[in-house]
This record gives sequence, structure tokens and C-alpha cells, in this order.
Amino acid sequence: MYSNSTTQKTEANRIKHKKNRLKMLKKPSFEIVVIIFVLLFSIPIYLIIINTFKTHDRILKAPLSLPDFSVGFQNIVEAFQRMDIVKSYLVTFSISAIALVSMIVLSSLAAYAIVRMSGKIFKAAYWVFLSCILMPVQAAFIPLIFILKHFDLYNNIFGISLVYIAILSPFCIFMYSGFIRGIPIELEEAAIMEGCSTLRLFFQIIFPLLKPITATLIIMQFIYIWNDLLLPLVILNGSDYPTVSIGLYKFFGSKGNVDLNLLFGGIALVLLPVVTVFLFLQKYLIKGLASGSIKG
Amino acid sequence: MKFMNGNRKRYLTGIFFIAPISIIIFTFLLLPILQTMYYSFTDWRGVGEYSFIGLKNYINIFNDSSFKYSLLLTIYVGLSIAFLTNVIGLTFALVLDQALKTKNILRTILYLPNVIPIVVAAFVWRYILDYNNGLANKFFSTFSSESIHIPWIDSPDYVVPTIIMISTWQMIGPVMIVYLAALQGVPLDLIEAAKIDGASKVKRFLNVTLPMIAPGITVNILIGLANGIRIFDLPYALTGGGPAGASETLAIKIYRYAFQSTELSYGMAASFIMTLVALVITLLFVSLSRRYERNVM
Repeated sequence: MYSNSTTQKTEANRIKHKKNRLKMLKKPSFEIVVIIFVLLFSIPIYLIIINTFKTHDRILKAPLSLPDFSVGFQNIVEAFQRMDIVKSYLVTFSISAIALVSMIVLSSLAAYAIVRMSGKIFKAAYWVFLSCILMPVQAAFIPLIFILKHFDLYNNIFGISLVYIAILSPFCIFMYSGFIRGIPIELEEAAIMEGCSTLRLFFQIIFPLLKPITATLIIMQFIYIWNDLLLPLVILNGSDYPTVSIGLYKFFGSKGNVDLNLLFGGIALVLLPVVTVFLFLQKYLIKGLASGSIKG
Repeated sequence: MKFMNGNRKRYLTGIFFIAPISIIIFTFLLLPILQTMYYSFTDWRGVGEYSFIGLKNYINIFNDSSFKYSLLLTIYVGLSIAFLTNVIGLTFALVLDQALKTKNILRTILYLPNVIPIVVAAFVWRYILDYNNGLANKFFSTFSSESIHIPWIDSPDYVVPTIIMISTWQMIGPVMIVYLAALQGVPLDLIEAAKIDGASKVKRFLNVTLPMIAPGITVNILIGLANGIRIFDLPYALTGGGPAGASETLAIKIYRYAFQSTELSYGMAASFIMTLVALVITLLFVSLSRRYERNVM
């Protein structure tokens, strides 16, 4: 809000310029070429959507043709009955919720300290976190399993959530610290003068300002956790805690290419929640990034 | 004196702020990686006694040609994905930054591949790229008198480019979004000024736009490398590392060492090498692009 007066000015200028540009709009053919490119790019997605509503034979014979809707939602319903999807949804949602909430709160706190506190330890912490972004978790597996077993966290929803927090937080801290650097410090100085504690200052003044970047991070990391195959494969027992990816992987494995209609029904079930979340939150994606963190 | 006390209190609060996440990252990421390093100098097999054997695991591993192949493959795949996602992502961002009527919906469509689980993407692509009945081969056959059969997934020569292509397709969305956001920070007055000065389109892009979006480049290189070097799900679900180990990336190889063999400490040496590769490449590229940022600002 505070740092945005210049942004607003640029924004106003942009709109003005865009209007000028619109007037002398390059031939509409340019837009058509772009649309054709994007459509080619999204053929796999088109395939998933249309084949969800077709019979096995139709999928084989005419994969690209539009469905005649004779099967209706039968594929999805049947896959629903066979996949134990409700359990998968619950397991994956619980993991995502625990991991995302803790990750957001703890990373933003850490980023705030890194940006605003002076001291060598905070500078060092920044570089350690930065280099953790790229640490391959595969390299940690065997000892990690022993550590998890030691704390009784192996094959446990809290255990896997903690590992997600460990591997995804470094990127969040990196993005948050970029964002917090853009917030003018005067705000906080006034609050400190009035004797506000740093913790209260953070949650009442800073955290609300972080909303856009928080939305961006939630989208990115929710997609990561929802789709991840590796960690559940290693840390969870697939029959106790079948995450969505594991459930689908097994479903594919057991069916092979036999029942294509069922497979596409299953795919639709897996995609539904994550695509819904994405469509609802996507307008924040650019906003969150544009309002700070990548302006350095 | 009072001021000093206040500062000290603030310092302690800061420590209190970074402590929880540091403990979690240390316990569940850094500590196990350090243990991996430690065990890589032993002959540990997961249980029982072990003794130190110095660099023997590392010597063995560099004499193993399949490991060397995986190492080079991983670096190649990582750099290719980082390069391609950035070039294509930036192109799409520049195009969608224009006054197009459909730009919001196009943006959403371009992001969708990233929302799809890799298991699903691998399945759909296997279906499209099938040797006999795949859509891709059928499509190319329509341009030719005879039917074309490209072994996209089934030949060791084609499988790596195929994986790079699918992974790039998957990663375009986030990279493009970061560039779109960065482009919003480029003041158009600057571009107009350059235009009036008679700078060509290419010159305007290289000298005005590119320097302004430099921080976005750093973030995107980080995203591209992170996904490229650690790539596991896609080759695992698409080919299982095949055919004949041609798409066995380091991540898959390490997974195999850890869970499908008894040579644990040998696998840990491989893991540690992978950690070093990831670290060196990342820090190198991040410091390079940071230097570029500083030079142009």
C-alpha cells in the first residue's frame, strides 16, 4: 500500500501506453498465431478433458474427436468407486494443510529477521537457506528415514509434513525476504516507538502486507505437495496413507492400458481439486510476484 | 544504555524468529545430508558395524561408467531445462505482455501443465508419443507418403530430448509468470524514450527491458536448475530410467542404490556427489546473474 504510489504511477502510464498501442494494434493475425501456438501446446490437456467423457473404444479409435456425451460422468463415478479417492484426498489435504500453514508462518518470520535484524548470524542464515533451495532431498534419504524412525515419525503424516517444510521453506524464505525488503521501515519504527513488541509488530503490521506473495507461494507449494511422488513413495506406506499421486500411480500400474476410460476418469478425479484451487487463486500469482520479491 | 538493551532484545527476538525453521531444516534436511557424507567414507550396509575405508567408494564410483553417464546426463538435462524454460518462458511472457484480448485465458492455459501431476503428464505423453499408434507419429505421417515411426520414448537416442521437451512443457508456466511479473516493473516511459532515440526493437529489448527484469532471471534460473538437476518423477513414471538406462538420472540412480541394493555407502557417495553438483552449479549461476543485476542497475 505504502510503497505502491510509484507502482501506481507506472501502472497508470502503462494503461495509457497500452491504449495507444491498442489503437495502432498490430494486425489481429498476430493474436491468432499466438492462440494457435498455445492450443498446440495444450493438446495433452485437451486430451485429458475430452477423453474423460468417452468410452474405451472411442478413446482408442478417435482420441482427438469430441465426445458424444453418451457416457456422461460414468467414467469419473466408476473411478471414484474403485480408487478409494476420498481417503487419498483426506491424506493429501492433511499433509498439505499442516505443511503449508507451518511453512508460511515460520518462513515469513525467519525472512523478517533476516532482512530487518542486523548481525552476522542473520546474514549467514540467509546464505545457508539460499543454498538449501537446491539440496537434493534424495541425497538425504537413508539417514532421513533413520531420523524419522527415531522420532516415531516414519510412515506418519506429521513426519512427511515436516520433511516438506524442510525442503520447501528455503524457497519461501528467499521470496519473502525479497518482498520484505520493499516494505518501508518507517512503519515499524513508529510501532517500536510506541513500545509494540516485535512479535506483535510482525503479525499486526508486516504479515498482512505479505498477503500477495503468500498467495503465490501457497499456489506453488500446494501444487508441489499435491503432485509429489517421491517423498510419499519413500516415507509413507502406500496402503496406510495413499496420497493422490501414489493412488494414481498404483491405479495406472494395476490397470495398464486396459481400461482407458477408467484411467481418464481417475485422472479427472486427481486433477479436480488442484485445478480448482489454482483457478481460484491464480489472479494472485502475478500480483504477488510483481509487488516485490523479484524486483530484487 | 537503555538503547543497548532494546537492541539486545531485538537481536534475541530475531534469533527466536529464525530458530524454529532452522531446527526443522537442520533436522530433516541438512543433518541427514551430513550423515550421508559421513557414511560415504565407510562400508556401512544399513545395519551393524562399519569401518572407515577412506575414498574407496568414490574411487569405485568414478570407475563405474553407468554412474558417469548419469552424472553427465543430469548436468546436461539440468542445463537444457534451465535454458529452454527461460528462453521459451520469456518469449511467451513478452508476447502475453502485449495488448491481446485473450491474454488472461492464454496465461491460464499455459500454466495448466504445471498443475497436472507428473504421473498423469507422463501417462498422457506416453500415449501421444506411442511408437505405433501415437498421435505425434500419426501427425507427422500425414506430411509424408510413408508412415513415420519415431521412437520418442523407446530408443536411447530419443528418450533424453523427449524428457527435456516434456519437462520444459511442464515448467513454462511458473517461469513465464515470474517474467510477466518482472515485465510489469519495466517503466514504459523508458522504452518510449529509447524508441524516440531511434533504438531498434532488438536494442530496446537488450538494453532496456532485459536489465530491468534481471532479478526475474535469477529466480527463473534457480527454478529451472532446481527442477532439472533433481528430476525424478518424470523419467521414473515415463520410462523407469530406460530404455537400457538411457534416462537414468542421478536422482533415479540414487533411489535405486538406496532402496534396491545393499551397497548403501556406495549410494551415499553418489548422493554426496549429486549434492555437490547441485550446489556448485546453483551458486555459480546465481552469483553470475547477481553480478549481472549489479552491473546493470
